Amino acid sequence: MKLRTPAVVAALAVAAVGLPQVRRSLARLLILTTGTVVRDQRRIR
Amino acid sequence: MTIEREAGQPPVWQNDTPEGQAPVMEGQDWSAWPVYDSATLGLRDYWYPVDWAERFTRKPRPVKILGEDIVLVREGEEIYALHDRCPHRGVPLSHGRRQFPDTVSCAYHGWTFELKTGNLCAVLTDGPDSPICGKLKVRTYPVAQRLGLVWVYIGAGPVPPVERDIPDELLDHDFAMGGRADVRNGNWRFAAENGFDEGHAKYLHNTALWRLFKVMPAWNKTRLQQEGPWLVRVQEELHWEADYPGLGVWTNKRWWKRMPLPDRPGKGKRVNRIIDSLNIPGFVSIRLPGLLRVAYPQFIHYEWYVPVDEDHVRYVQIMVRFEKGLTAAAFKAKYLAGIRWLFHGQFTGQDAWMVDVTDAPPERLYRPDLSITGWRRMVERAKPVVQILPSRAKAE
Repeated sequence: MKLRTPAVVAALAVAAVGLPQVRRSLARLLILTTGTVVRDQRRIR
Repeated sequence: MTIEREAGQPPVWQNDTPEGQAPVMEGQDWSAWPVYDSATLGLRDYWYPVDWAERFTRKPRPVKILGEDIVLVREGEEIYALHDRCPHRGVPLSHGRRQFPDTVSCAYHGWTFELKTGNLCAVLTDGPDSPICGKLKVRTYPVAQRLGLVWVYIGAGPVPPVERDIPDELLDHDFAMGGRADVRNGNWRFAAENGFDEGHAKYLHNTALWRLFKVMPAWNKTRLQQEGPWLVRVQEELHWEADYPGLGVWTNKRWWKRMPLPDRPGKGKRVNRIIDSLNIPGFVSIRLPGLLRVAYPQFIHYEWYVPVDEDHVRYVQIMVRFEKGLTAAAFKAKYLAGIRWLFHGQFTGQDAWMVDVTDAPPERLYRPDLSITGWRRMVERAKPVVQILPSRAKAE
């Protein structure tokens, strides 16, 4: 049971990052704290 | 700076002679480029990237561009820009509050302006029937959001689409990008000249960690070529080492460094298909109003030099990889883990250092500075509208 806990937490964290809302929040946190952006850009025209 | 002449000898240039500074001689100042010389605060009638869109919230935020004080406010998905000065007593609207949707109220007496039009729509300390309402407005600025950045147009007359001032390749393709934006010391022209400067990279940056495993040339010969809106630096000769009589050999070659660095993207072995299709004849190119493009075989680095005031420049740098899926994800991870710190950190930090301490004119240019004079000529030929210093504008 003890061994499983970190694995479950890690899996939950990975799953959470997979959620668009969580990804957006993380990206926003990155921008606000470091002024750095990473993103995908779709063609504009 | 003085010039000592002896009969039949070329002049010898010296700094800091006992006689003090001599008058500036012909060729040492910027009188050959009068428009450029007067463009301390930049060029009007262009769109400028200001900062990442995510950094603007409902809270009014002041930003200075081309010497103009602007306040930016978010309302939902839209971002609005107004002159950051309440016409009542000159208090910055960026100190203001958001009392009603689509408005900003001055912190001092509650003068309330519509974000979209800048119209004074209410004065909270003078009642709903305040006679001054509708008689005043603050200047507004066109705003657009592209590439995750907020763009503001500084100029008069018909407003061109923001796409005019964004490189075509960034409009026509999907890509992944990483970037940073900050305000740095130094005038925007020093930043632009540093970016397009032929001579400095191979010496200043050969200590940068970003170049730790890549050989930089010792010296080279360059010509300039105009390609559409871009002025391109094309390498004609590349020298990886040179013997200086009486001094010794100078080279950047080391056993742990790979070479050669392709001098143009098309010469690399593995060139990204889209970058290859751009047919860029040289490694570095620049265009108005101050955008640099450095094309590598697998990615392109762009940097905008947005004038803030006489002594500061807003430096917006992005790295672009025309990839999708896993390659794009790997690039973004690499950007956060390394590129952000090495290239967009220490490497361009060395540029920031030089831009900060540059003090010209007077100046004494040398052969590789044809890149700098070529850029100045390009600005001159474009006959741009120069931003006038607010103090000068008042006097006129």
